[in-house]
Amino acid sequence: MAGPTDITGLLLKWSQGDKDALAQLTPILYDELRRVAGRVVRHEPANLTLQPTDLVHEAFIRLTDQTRLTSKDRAHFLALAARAMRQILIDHWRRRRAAKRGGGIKISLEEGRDVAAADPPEIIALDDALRALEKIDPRKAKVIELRYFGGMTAAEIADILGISTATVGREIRFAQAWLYRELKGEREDGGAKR
Amino acid sequence: MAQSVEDRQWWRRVEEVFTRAVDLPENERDTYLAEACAGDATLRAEVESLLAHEAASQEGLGRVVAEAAASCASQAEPNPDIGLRVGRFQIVRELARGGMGVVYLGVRTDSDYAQVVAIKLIRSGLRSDRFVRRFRAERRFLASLHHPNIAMILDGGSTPDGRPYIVLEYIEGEPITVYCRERKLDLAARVHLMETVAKAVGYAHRHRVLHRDLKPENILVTREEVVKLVDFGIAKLLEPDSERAQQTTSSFRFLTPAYASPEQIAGTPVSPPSDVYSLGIILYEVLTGRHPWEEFRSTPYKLFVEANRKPPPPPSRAPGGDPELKRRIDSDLDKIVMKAMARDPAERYATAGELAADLERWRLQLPVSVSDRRLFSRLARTLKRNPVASGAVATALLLAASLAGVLWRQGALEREWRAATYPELARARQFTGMQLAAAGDAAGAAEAFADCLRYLDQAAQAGADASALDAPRARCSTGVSWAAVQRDRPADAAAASAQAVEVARRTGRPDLLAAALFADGDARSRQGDVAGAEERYREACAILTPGMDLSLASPAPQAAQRWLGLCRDRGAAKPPP
Repeated sequence: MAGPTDITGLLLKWSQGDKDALAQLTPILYDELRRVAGRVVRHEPANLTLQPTDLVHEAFIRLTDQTRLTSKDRAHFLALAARAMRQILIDHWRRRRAAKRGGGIKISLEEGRDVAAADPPEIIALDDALRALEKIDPRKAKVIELRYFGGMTAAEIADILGISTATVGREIRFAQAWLYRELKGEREDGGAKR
Repeated sequence: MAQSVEDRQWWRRVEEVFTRAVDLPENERDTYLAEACAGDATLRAEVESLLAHEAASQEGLGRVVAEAAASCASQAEPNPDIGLRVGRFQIVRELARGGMGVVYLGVRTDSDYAQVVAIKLIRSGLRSDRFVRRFRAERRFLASLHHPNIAMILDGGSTPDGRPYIVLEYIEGEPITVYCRERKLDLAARVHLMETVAKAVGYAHRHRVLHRDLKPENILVTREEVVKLVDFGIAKLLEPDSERAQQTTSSFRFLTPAYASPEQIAGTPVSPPSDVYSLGIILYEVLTGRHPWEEFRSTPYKLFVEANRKPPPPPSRAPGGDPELKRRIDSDLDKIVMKAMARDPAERYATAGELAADLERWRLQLPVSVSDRRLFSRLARTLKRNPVASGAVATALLLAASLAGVLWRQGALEREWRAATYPELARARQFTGMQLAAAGDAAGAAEAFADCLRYLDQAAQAGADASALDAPRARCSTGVSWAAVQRDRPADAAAASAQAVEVARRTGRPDLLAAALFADGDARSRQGDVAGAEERYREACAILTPGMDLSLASPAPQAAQRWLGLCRDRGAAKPPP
């Protein structure tokens, strides 16, 4: 068992280039995000406006001592959280699919229908589209990840990527339109094949 | 999948045309596209298809991510802890999940006597041997809490795989907010319940135990209408080690953002008024049926910013909530609630016992400590209303005497904890100021930084180490100056920055001095003193070394960015070292 986990300290080490710190940080963050998400939904089951970005910010407040961190450390945290959040959402779907296939786990009619209806869910289509974008234009894919999964402002993104805020704004707009079209296109094609 | 040069050029071209076209009004797009694509039909079709998806794209992508998050969060997973044995108990089923971990229903296994308990398995970075040691040290204090409204702690230890656990008296009840809503209790009954709660917390405060995580879920009401506070003092068991905490106040902090006091969220040490703050928020919610920042409940970060911006409307004027209840809330009750939940710990009731006393006086229609009406006119009114004059006079005088006693004790307590916590309060306000400044709220930031300076003055008066106060004073003076510039008050700005420079020089910290000089430069420039401003900027830039981080010294990230930019512009003129 690890000793008392000093998240802030790990974050500081990581921002100074310590790769081990990142390896220690990721599972903690992953766990925290899942927990926070669960609490929010249990609190307000009907809350459809739940944004992962709010969860990331809450995780940040809860896990770190903000008075010791610079704005750059904060940006590093959010970038890491964005990556973790994306991974969590994808893993979640994979587990559901595994549970559906796995022997011995019974699924009621209603649950079965639920899984089928969400197959393949849009988040997977979005992840695929983001991977495609990563190959064409990695920076735009990063900008979208930081924005949608990390809830970072254009200024924060600009800071961490070392580009101007105006460039971030332009890239978001273009990449958003491109991704959304990929998403829609895939859905429409899929429908036609069926 | 390597990309060819042609692919890359094509992608650039699409982006360029799209970016130009997207900002044009509809009727000009066609003309532009015709010209820009100049016969390249493929390019034009590509850009038009992207433009067609542009309008809905932001909302569309946001929805996909939000739905995935909601689905992920609502997914239940099988729990391997069911059936686990911890000490003399066995876990039976899950009761609730919270910030600290999962609470289970458990039964005692080592006797025929079927004792039902609540078992809290703690999710923590704390090492289990340390937890167990600390639990043994603390249980003496926790065991001293014998109160009918406080749930008992029965045992504690660590599971075979090293997770800390606590065994508590099992209480079958509902959170106080739910109980009040479902039974449709009237205002007086709600005040009475909260009075009981505050008395129990006050009892613990007198035994030097703080709750640290008060929230409706920790205040249960049983079917027999008995209030039970659970989890008393547990938050403290789970704090990072004290010797470590002095170097790093980090590690996991267990708190519930919707009820935690601003100083708790800022990570500074808690005191009885921190519990009072949580009680104030719960009181507000119980009396009106609505959390003071209901709309931000699920977004704690926004809630934190909002709670630091300005106080909510008093309960009687709460937006939303139960109109029938709100109609009966008078100005005295409003003042009691608002005093309990004051942002500034020094303005709250010093202990929960004092809040309880005021609630009781309100319920008995006696003068409360926060009333602005003259004590004796209130007494006279009370006497007039009460025909059994002699008995009432005796009661009223007794209560007036006990009120004086309470006020005297309050004075002593306040002095005691204030002396120890002024520097921490200053730190909390400085942190808040930086948060508000980053969020663009210059007025809120100005207030927070000014509070910080006020606390530092008081800390100095209380005999705190003066040299330790210089660094925060430099930061907060720089903050006051920066906020004054944002609000177009150059004279105020110059006064504050002059002090910031003077104090920062004493600290010997280059980042603090550079930030103070930049702020002073800004203030001078606003006053029209261009030469003076230039001199300050030049000195500041000379102090900066490559890679120096200004973000801990400057009031807001945008300020640090701008200031560093000033030096980049001057970079060419700077002589090599």
